[in-house]
Amino acid sequence: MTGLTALNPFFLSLLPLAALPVLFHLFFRLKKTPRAFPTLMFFNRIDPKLNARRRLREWLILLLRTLLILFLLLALARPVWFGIGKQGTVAVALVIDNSGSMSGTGEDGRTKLKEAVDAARGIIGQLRDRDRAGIILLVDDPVVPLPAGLSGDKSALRNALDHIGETEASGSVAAAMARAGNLFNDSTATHFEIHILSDLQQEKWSQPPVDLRPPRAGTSIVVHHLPSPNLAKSNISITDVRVPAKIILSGRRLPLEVQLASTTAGESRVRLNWQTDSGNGSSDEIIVPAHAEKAVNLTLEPQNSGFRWVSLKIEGDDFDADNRAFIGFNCQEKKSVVFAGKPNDFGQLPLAVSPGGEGKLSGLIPSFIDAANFADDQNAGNFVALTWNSFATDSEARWAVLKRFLDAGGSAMIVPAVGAPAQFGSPPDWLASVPGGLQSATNGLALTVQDKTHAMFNEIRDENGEIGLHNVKVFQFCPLRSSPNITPVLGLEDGRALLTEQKIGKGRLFASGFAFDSAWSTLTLKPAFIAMAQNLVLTQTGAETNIVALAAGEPLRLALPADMAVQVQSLGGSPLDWKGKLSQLATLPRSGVYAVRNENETSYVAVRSSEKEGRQQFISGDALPALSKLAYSVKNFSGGDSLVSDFKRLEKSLDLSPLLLLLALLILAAEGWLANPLPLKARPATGAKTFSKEENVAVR
Amino acid sequence: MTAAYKFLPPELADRLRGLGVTVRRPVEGALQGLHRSPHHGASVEFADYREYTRGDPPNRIDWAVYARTDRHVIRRYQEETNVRAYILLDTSESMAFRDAGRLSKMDYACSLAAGLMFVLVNQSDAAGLTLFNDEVRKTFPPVGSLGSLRPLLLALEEIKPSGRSNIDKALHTLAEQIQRRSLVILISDLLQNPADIIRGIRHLQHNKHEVLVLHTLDAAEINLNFSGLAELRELETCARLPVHADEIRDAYASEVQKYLDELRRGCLGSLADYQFMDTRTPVEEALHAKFGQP
Repeated sequence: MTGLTALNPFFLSLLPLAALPVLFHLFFRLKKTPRAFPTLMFFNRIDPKLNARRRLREWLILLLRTLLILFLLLALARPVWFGIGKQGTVAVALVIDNSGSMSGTGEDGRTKLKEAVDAARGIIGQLRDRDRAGIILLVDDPVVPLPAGLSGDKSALRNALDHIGETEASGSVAAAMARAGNLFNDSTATHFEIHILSDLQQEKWSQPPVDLRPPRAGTSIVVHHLPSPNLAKSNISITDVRVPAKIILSGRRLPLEVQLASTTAGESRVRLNWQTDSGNGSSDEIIVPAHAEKAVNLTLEPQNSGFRWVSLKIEGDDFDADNRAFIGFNCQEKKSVVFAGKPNDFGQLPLAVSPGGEGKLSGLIPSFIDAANFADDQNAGNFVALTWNSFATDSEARWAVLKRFLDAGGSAMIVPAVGAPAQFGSPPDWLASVPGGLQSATNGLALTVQDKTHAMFNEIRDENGEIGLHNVKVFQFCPLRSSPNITPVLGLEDGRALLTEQKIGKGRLFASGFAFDSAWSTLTLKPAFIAMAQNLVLTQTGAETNIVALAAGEPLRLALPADMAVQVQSLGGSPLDWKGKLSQLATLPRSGVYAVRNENETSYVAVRSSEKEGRQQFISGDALPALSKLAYSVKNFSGGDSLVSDFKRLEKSLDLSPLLLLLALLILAAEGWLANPLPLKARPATGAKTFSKEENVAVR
Repeated sequence: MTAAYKFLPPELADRLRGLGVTVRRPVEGALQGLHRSPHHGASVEFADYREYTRGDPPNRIDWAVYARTDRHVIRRYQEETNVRAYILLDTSESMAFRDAGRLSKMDYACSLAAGLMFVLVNQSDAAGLTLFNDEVRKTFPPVGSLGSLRPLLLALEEIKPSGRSNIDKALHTLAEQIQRRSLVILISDLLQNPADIIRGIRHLQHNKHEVLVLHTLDAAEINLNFSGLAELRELETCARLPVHADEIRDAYASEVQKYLDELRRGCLGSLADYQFMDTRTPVEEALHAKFGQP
């Protein structure tokens, strides 16, 4: 950038206001009182060009007023002429775009990020003793040792540049500009410059900023646009990996759904490789149509309990920065299901939950206790099945125990005991569904699914989303009286509810109006009943988890205090071992699985590469919406030498605003002189004699 | 006879009866009058002696001189005659102006003319009237009786100021028309180049006429009595000029004063009698100041 630049271009948009004096002159002229007069002879004797002189003066005043506004607005626009003028100390902020798109190759075969870093290194080399520089990354990278604030230590600055590497994240221009502007807050330099090195990917640069604070007044902003000549012909990105929202048991099959998206024209043929933390994995060939999404289903079978993770990677396309994803999940060895009552009270439910009885087939281990012995603290984490009859005696105390169990996050289900009517005393206020009296239907009534989206039916839906429960009859039932806000899961055709789910505290409670027994219903005779019963036990909708899945560059959403000291270590993917306060770790820029540990607990973050970085649209003009509220110039990057020479030229600048202000003051003075003229003096007498004052008085 | 005239009401005529118009130079009148004639004749005022020549009546020989000098001389006496006055009245558009005065300049000038005609006729002189603007428009030959003044006084009432003035042209025209030595009274605002006016006066003086100039102006013409921005329209030409009165007030007054000086000086140099007439001064008072007893 050389030549003239306005640091406050907003005022340039107000330049049409300079025409205001002309408008006022045309529309609000002073009214001249018309007067008849015997002769104009004496006026013409005073000055034959009196009228012409007056008109000239009026137009001069008009011109001066227009120029006054013009110069004032120009002065407020802070025009600066770079390349000439005094040479002072420079504070420069180097904003380097290290987002995923910069890993694409530039014109000379190197990555764009490498070109940007080398150019920044050239500017660092040009710094003089009193100059200061700071480095700002578009994507925060915890592995780069950035000097705090502005620094004159070239070795520290070079060291930071040496550590800058490609990321898989999408950064925030506004955040980077705010950090760059903050660098200058306490600087005593005479020139402030922000050099931005970026490929101007539309994804980041086309969005107008929501809250972009301008840097210190007088700061010149130069955007060096690194060209992207080698666009990928084929690019597939992983946009999401979905794990079923239920308790995962070791040794059981775990379906994963991987969402892929093509960002290029033409069909792409790639391989999707996946590998578990224990080394198991596979590779599948995937064909993704042009500009389309595709879901790929994978089936894992984790063998061990605890935190487990899977890495996924796409091979075979032309852009790598959006090809990786990690997903983590907690795996349990076996889960206990406690039946508080006699085995016969629950019909076929225990058999459906655990066909083998020892959890070999389902991972669920049933156990039976006396209903009177059910204690909330001894069954934490278990699924508990109770009968309505178990609350018939000592009702208030037993409801209280159940309430505590649910508040603590437990899951439970209450069913009518097979062969006994539902008797449970007075129900507590918090219970939303209460069974009515026992009813029977000799020919049976149709049992229907009321909530088709419930996770209980996840594995019994067909391709069209229909649930495989047909011709199920109910012969005995106690219709539930539910609160209006409770949506039944199962019910009769006439709308009466027979199974509801209610969230209580951190837990959930299923209330059933019929026993899972063939004498009550044909449901237990259906094959889908087994999957349905097991899902009912394993579903953990809304349950808290210590695992967060996010895209690289997204803010961490851990449920931990920001000022908590943590240690972040990568378990898989990009290596990282970082210690500090959680607030200092704004984001994780690369895909991987990270353990975030503090003194008491460990959380996990699974990061996938940002699919935004694979979108290969770049801004080609000089208009950058992301900087729309700032004064900046865009320069095509043509190598580090060119940038360095520009930087040296920018060291010299001449602020024209004082000169314009001076001109405005001069014009103001001239306007005041013209607008308030001294009274005209009479011409000197040329005749021989003039009459005395007394004579003149006498004449009058 | 005065009851019907606008510019000569009876009360004005009564107050003007004691006034008298005198001339400094000899004038040639047709009748015996109060003014000195260039000719010698029968009167009580001695002029000079001349030698007796054949044909002179012997009773005019001054025998006392013959007794002392033994010469026959005849005693001559100054002839006295009446004056023929021509009132030259400017009727141009500029005379319609009125601002500070109670009357417009035209009305004021008409009153002056009527008063003067009355005074002249009342002292047995003859008064005529010539109306002009850019040229002589109407002429009334001098009349010597009050009854004969009627058409002149009525003509004054019919004047409507119009046209541009050409004073020097009117003066030259009148100078060529008047044969006998007469009194010429110019009543005008004289808004013209003073040098041209003085040339016309000198023409009259060269023809042995006595010239009296009554310069009639409104006070607002001498000192601008308005302020701020105004667009002035010249009455005679309709030319317009925007001026800021406060800016040029002093310069204007000074310029008017120089113009008045120039006129006064020119009149003095041409042996013409100059009198400034402010329209704020009542006509009777102005005539008394000029023609009353000192």
